[in-house]
Amino acid sequence: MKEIKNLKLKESKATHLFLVLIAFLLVFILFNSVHVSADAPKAELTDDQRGEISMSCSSIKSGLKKLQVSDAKIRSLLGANYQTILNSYITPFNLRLVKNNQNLGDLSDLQSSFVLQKNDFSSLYIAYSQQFENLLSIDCQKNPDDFYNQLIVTRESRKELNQKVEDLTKTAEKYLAEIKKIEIDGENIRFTPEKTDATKASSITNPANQVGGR
Amino acid sequence: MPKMSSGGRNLMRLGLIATLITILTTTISLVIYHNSGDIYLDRSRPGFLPEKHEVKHDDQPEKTYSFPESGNLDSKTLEEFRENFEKTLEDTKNLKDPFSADNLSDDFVGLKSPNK
Repeated sequence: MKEIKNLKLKESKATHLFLVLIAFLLVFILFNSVHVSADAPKAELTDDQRGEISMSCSSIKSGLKKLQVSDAKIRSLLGANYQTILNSYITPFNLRLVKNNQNLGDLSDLQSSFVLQKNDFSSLYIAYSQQFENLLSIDCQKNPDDFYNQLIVTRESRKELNQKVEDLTKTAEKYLAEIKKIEIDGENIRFTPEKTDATKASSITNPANQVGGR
Repeated sequence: MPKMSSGGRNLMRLGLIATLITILTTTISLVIYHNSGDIYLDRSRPGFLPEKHEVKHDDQPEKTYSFPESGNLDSKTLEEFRENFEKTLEDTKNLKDPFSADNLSDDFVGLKSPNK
């Protein structure tokens, strides 16, 4: 009986040790997961520039933190707008055309482009934020060179993000331009070449263009 | 010193394993939260909370336009859609150069002698 008890105790100790080892192994693997970092272009700072960065380090950091908060607000606003454009306009309009067995023209491609660009926007913002966090973590007083190099990388990341915002706006504008080409012809719709506003207004208000009006 | 009963020892083991599992799962969640980038999209972090004027109150529901997915398409519906879409797009375009590189220029960080 005693031997069985001792054996059970040994087994349970071994199980505990095994569990603890697995836990540490998992934590170690997760914390050491691959971090992608861009090769930063090495900028050569002059001694004056190093001095300027070191001396105004605290005000630089303060300005950067304010910018970080401002960027978060802008991102939130833009994200909400893009979500609205996609969910309240583009998607339901295209669905309605599909349900009415209408030709979508370029609207379907524009919807796909918009979705992809919106996802890219989120990814680029995350990448930019990571670079920004790296920038804030560097002590600009002690390491002005590293700080400036990271600043260059963060700046490039921000440019890419800004470009994506422009791309999204252009896609939305293209979609709107396609909508303006739509003419209702009885129960069907057709995409006509872009008209002037006066001609468009007359085609829209013309009772003959109402569904079932003919 | 009285020996701990087997029930007491089992309880200790249970507590220890439960604590280890909690630490492990919490660590995994935090690592995923950080590595996936969700931390950067989360505005509930201290310092990133929305300001009072940004918070919409429930007693004042905002009337938002949403194009219905079904129904016939007529000129009036199309015109209404176009007007609302333009308005929403204008709100987006009002933020000109929202992530302009000028905000991280050498001037912004106080470098008076720009690097050539």
